Amino acid sequence: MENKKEMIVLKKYALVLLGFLFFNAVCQAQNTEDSIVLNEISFVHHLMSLNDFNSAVFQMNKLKPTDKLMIDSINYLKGWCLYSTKKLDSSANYFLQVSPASSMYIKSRFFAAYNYSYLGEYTLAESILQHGLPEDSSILQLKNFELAGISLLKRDLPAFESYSKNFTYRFYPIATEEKKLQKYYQKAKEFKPRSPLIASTLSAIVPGLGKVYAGRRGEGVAAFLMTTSMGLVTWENFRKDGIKDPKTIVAGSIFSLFYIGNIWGSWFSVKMRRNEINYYINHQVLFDIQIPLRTFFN
Amino acid sequence: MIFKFLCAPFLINAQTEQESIFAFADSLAKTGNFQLACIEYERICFTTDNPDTFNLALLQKSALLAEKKNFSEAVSEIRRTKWNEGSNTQVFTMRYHLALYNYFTGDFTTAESVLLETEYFTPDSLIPAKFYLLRALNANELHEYKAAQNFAWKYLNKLPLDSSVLVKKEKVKELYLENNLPQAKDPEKARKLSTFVPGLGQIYAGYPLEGIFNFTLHLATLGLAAYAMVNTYYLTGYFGGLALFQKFYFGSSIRAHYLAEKHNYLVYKKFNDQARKILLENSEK
Repeated sequence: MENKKEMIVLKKYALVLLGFLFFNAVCQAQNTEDSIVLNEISFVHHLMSLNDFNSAVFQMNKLKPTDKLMIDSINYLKGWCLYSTKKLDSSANYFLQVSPASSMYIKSRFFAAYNYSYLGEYTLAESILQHGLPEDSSILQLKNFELAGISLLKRDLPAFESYSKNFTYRFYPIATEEKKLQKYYQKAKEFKPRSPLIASTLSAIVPGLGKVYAGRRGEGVAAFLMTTSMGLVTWENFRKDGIKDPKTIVAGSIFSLFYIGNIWGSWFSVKMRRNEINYYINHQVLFDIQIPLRTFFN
Repeated sequence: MIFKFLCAPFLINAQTEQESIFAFADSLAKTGNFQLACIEYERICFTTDNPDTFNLALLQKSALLAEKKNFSEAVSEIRRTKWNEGSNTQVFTMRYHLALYNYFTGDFTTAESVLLETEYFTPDSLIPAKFYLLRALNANELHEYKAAQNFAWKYLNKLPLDSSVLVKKEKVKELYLENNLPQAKDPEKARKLSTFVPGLGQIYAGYPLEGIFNFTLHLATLGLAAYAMVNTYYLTGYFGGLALFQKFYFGSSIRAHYLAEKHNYLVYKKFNDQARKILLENSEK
């Protein structure tokens, strides 16, 4: 009986020992794997220093780290490589996978938000900035600045006015860019969208006037000269030879083509002008909300 | 084909050295796994302290890039060579490949300066035949035909003397005769000729039919203007005739300039293709 009890106790000890040895072996394997990953990460940094971001991502896709911080590092590096190669959607995905425990978490959130701003996903960009960031004063200023930029991209001018009230023009990474955003805000506010119908009607009355109304003066003058010259030629031939004369018909056809084209062109010139202004403002805003991120996080 | 012919000997020599370090990368390259092979060659560059190994890995990587016709990337890679640390033979090889890849990117001026530098630092007896072949081809692209002929001779003189080399020498002699060299047209002269007589620039540039058509077009529009004015159709004469004449007139001189440049491009290309064919004929064997 006592022997049996001893056997049971021995078996228990043996099981515990086996369990411990097994656990140790697994940890060793993980450590080896993690040290391989660590070596690979330094090689990845080397590839990135050569601007070979595609190869860096290719290498990182082969890694299977177990350590949480390493996983975060890889997600951040992938995000950065994809951002550098302008694959912004994928880049944002990886940036958002970086956990709050990582030292690159805040930078990742800001750049993910920037990527979505560039892609036109303004609501998503705003929600990334509004949740999960610490209440540090410099982070708050940067966040306010980025949200102001996104409001401007959305043409939500009242929202921009509300954010811009918090501009201090003293925080060095964003001081200059805050003034620039104000300039773009003024431009966006002063821009009065024109009506295509009014532009076409003006061009019907005076060829080229609709294009001048749309803000394209040079084109308006050129359209006026071309249409008027053909009109005069048609009138001269009509006056001398009548409407059935071939010269009148040819000149009249060319004049009609120019005249209708001038009206048609005026209709579209309003839209083109609007697109040009919007493109210019958006392009400048995107450029100026990116610079502070690179300054602040370097 | 021309790339492989100009590259091959150096790469074969490179592969026999330090086989164990390069074994994995070389096997990937042989199986066509281009991206992985480039990464593994880069890994060798990253891990090695030996400048010769570093340079050799760069050479292999750049050769892979060049094989995929990424010549500008191949140039960027070769530029990373440790010029002051590698052995003389290896530095010569790297310089040669830098010139070669610049030649293939079309940057003949840079290729020329690299070749000049390489020749300066290397004794003549150690320079292989293909070096002079590259110099000859590059000099042709720079329209330096006398120099190209000299280099072609040097190349052929370095080859083992046989009947095919003798035939090549004859062909090279004939190719570089004064009256066989490409006769270029001056685009500015063509433009000015068309300014004075519309269509004359096109004829000078070697496009007589277009020149005659151009001249006729100008005459027709002037004629239309004159006819209309004489018959008191003043507005038609001005807007229909003179305005059209003005458009054709300014377009004609720009067109003459373009045609002269096109003519030059075609004659140079024809000559260079001929030279390349003669020098490379039967050389792959």
